[in-house]
Amino acid sequence: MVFSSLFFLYLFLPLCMLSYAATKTIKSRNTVLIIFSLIFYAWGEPLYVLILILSAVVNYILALLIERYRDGTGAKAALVFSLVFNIGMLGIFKYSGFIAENINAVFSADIEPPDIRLPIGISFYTFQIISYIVDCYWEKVHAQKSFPKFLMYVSLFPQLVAGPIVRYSTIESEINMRRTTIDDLSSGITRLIFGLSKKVIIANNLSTIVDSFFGSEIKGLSVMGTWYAVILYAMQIYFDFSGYSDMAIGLGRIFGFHFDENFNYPFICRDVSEFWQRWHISLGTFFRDYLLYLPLFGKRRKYANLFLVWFCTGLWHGASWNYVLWGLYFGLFIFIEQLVGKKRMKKIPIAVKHVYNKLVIIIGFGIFYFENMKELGNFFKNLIGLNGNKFIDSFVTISLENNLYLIIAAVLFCFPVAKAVGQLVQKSRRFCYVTGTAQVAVNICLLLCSSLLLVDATNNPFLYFRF
Amino acid sequence: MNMNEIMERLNEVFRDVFDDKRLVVDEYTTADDIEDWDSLEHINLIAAVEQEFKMKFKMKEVSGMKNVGEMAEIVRERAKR
Amino acid sequence: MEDKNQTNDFNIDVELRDKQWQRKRRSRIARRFFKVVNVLMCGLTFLSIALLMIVMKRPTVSEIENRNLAKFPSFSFSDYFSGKYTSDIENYYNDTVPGRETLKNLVATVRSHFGKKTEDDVKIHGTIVAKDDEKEEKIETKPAVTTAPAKESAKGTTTGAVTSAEKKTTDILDNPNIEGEISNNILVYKNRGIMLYGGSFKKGQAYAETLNRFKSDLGKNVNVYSLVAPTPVSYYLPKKYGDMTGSEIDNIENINEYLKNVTPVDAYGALKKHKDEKIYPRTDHHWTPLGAYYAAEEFAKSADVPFAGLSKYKKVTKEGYVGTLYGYSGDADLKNNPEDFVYYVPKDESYTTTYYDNDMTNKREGKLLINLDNVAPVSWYLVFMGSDDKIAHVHTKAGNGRKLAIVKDSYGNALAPYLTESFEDIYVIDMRYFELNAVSYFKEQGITDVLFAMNTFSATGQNSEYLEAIRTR
Repeated sequence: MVFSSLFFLYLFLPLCMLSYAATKTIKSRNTVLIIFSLIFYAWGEPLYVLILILSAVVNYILALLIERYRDGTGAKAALVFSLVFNIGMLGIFKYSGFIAENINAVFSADIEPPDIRLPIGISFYTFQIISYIVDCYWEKVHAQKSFPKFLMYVSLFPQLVAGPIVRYSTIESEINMRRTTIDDLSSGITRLIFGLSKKVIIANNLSTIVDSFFGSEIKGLSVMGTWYAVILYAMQIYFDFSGYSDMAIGLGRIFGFHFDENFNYPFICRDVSEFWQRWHISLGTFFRDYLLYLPLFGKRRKYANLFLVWFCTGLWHGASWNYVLWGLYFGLFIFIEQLVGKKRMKKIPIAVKHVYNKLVIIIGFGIFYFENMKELGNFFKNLIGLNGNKFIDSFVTISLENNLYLIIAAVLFCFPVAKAVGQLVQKSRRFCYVTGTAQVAVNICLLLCSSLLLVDATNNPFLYFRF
Repeated sequence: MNMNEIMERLNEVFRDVFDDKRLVVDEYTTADDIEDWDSLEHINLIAAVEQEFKMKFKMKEVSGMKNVGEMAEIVRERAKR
Repeated sequence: MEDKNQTNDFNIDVELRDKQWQRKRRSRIARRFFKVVNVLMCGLTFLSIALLMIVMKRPTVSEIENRNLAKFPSFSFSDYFSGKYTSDIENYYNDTVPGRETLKNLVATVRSHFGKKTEDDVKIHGTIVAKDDEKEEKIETKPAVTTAPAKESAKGTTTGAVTSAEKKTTDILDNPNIEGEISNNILVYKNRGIMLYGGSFKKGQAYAETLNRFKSDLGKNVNVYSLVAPTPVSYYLPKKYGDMTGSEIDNIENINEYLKNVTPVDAYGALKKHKDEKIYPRTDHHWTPLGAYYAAEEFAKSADVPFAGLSKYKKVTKEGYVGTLYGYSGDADLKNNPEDFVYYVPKDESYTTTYYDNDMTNKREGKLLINLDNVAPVSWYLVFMGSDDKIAHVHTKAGNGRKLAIVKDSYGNALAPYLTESFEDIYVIDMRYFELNAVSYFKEQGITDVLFAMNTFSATGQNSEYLEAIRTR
């Protein structure tokens, strides 16, 4: 089930919210959330839901063991076991095919790649569990004594399948006690509708354009066509993914949870390092807290750890070499920015920096798009016209004109325009009535418009589902 | 080793790592106060501190450090033993 | 005095503070009020749509898309554990939204406001076709093995029908890649949908070589013809957009170069002469019955058989025709500018038509031109034979000893009615569905002439691979 479907919005969600509203105690509310979360997950994974529950059981016990045998080697053993278990699960379900392929390629062996389908959201909930276990070991949080509460943390449907990766410490107190204020409810709903609109109105329609250019062999595309499509693709992913995070955060607030932000207008960044502080923040902080300071390498550990983190970031996004390449590609630019140093970076004119980082980011999304290395090669050649392709053709000009308003809106909303306008009007108290009414009207309009477009979306998968 | 001494030596390390002779740190200095102190440079800083005081930080400490005061506190604890 | 002043000042102060405080309080209350309103209004919207979706009647058929909508699945454990059951329920819910057709038309209108038209009124939809004009002398003809699974999957995707006259219908809309006679890269120019053409010299060559093999299998007493029908892109695409498409005539000529002892039929030239007439609909990917008539006339010339003029037909006009291209492009301009569907029924009805399943079983009498009364406008082209998924046998009074087999995609359907005075038997088979070995079938029926009739997309695309499959099966 995806959030941006009529089935979720107009059947699952109303039922869930009504049931939630009908219960009063925290215990029964948690029960409602657990039941609906498990239904939500089992809807897409009737079998793999057992893996989710197994993971929860195993790690629930291990966390208790860590706390109980804190002073001996028991805690360490439990931690190691948990890490092996969690990373092993990821390895089996996400990477076994990839590993087999590579072993075959390197040793010309003939291992049959196992036919294992990737369980939805496993990358996200496994990382949440790892963060919980390590935090327990580091005594940053207390192990959760109640299994239902822990299961709720792991399976909570708003962030279950596509993030953000919510830290246990963020919602620890809210698992035990929370209330939804009118403020939470109102801003949660608004956030949900905004996220939905980002996904359905902008991302889905950008995706149609991108597919029309990259959908078949790309060798014949013009130089401008390739640039045009990859720029739109970068925006598509942004709206798709951040829209999903918005919906998750909004849904969380409706139920009284306050998740951390996952995106912070990444495209306004001044350098590549900053981009990654603004893009998929929960993943970046995860790797920073749990991998970056791993004392594996001796003297050179700063850069060795840097590339380790970026290798893992790439691999996390998908079991394919282009994702690894994509991760290392960003690692390389961050490495270069480190070598240049902040002081010297500061002296570079801001315009130059923007051109530089946008180029790096946009080409990065090209690497992200093309899983096939040959197509990726053609993509690079296309960018600089090495395929003997034209500079520009009618496809680009017509497509641009046909979608002009959509694209302008997309570019505007990549930057904090709406936020700035919102703050500006909010300051003037006199307009309170006007803005209040406008907000409600905009919400209803966006909701209706998104729903209408969803009628047309018979095929509407989320990009980030496979991770 | 008393706290003052540790802070003094830490200050030297900071000046060295961040290549800024006028840098002054106190217990409340955080990464936000020093422009170059990002999550990556943190690794170099930790390595330099470890070398200076001939001790090792745990990963938990490296990852969880909030300000210079906490760093100094850990150094003091380790140096005791 | 002083005292009084002070108290006054004090009072003013208090009043001021009071006012400010009041204002703050008011705005706080107002904000809170709007939060409540927001929650109520949005919640109401969610709930009422949810209720409507449950209460209102759900449609079962989409006319625009020419298909049955998803059905509520029946439960089985294997489906449940594979996840099919739940995803089918979801699909059912999302697919059969009450008022779907109206809402979809609304979507087309919304989409048309995402941008603007170009100065000369052009829009494009769908995936850009890859142009492929490389020639290669040595090509590997695909072995039949590889096409067999494709055939399987083609059958697998066959879904329910829309026409009440016939059970099955063209299912190209469900899987254009396999059905191959349509591209979804559609340019809309002055309310006319034009499919942009990629073309492939290599595939064209393979097509020609397959026909050559048919010819040598059938021997010198059987005439083999190749009629590759061009599409609107050859005649109606503005010159300045020429770089967006491959050339159909170049591809046809490339095919003709490779043909050996197979007679090419110059449909391109025949249609070009009449390009100012309505030889193609604006909203459908087929040709019009009139366009097919000119092509049939050209074929009759090549085959040296008699040919009846249009005067021997009764002209039937149906209004409100919006064809397949609307469903493909979702372009509101096509929807809002319906056209007439004009077709021609032979006045002399002395011929008989018999239909068979694709393996020549289940014989039944029928009409060559079916009754369109209960057929949705989008499917009016199905007037010819009602569907692709069967074999048709037309027996006429021509009495000249010539027996024709037409191997075709849906373009070929429209040819048969014009040949009732030209051949005494006409067998029409669709290479995508035919289940027997075509060569021995032709021999059994005593065929004297074989006409391969399909559009350029089929001939230089995947559909030509089916030809090799039915030859060697």
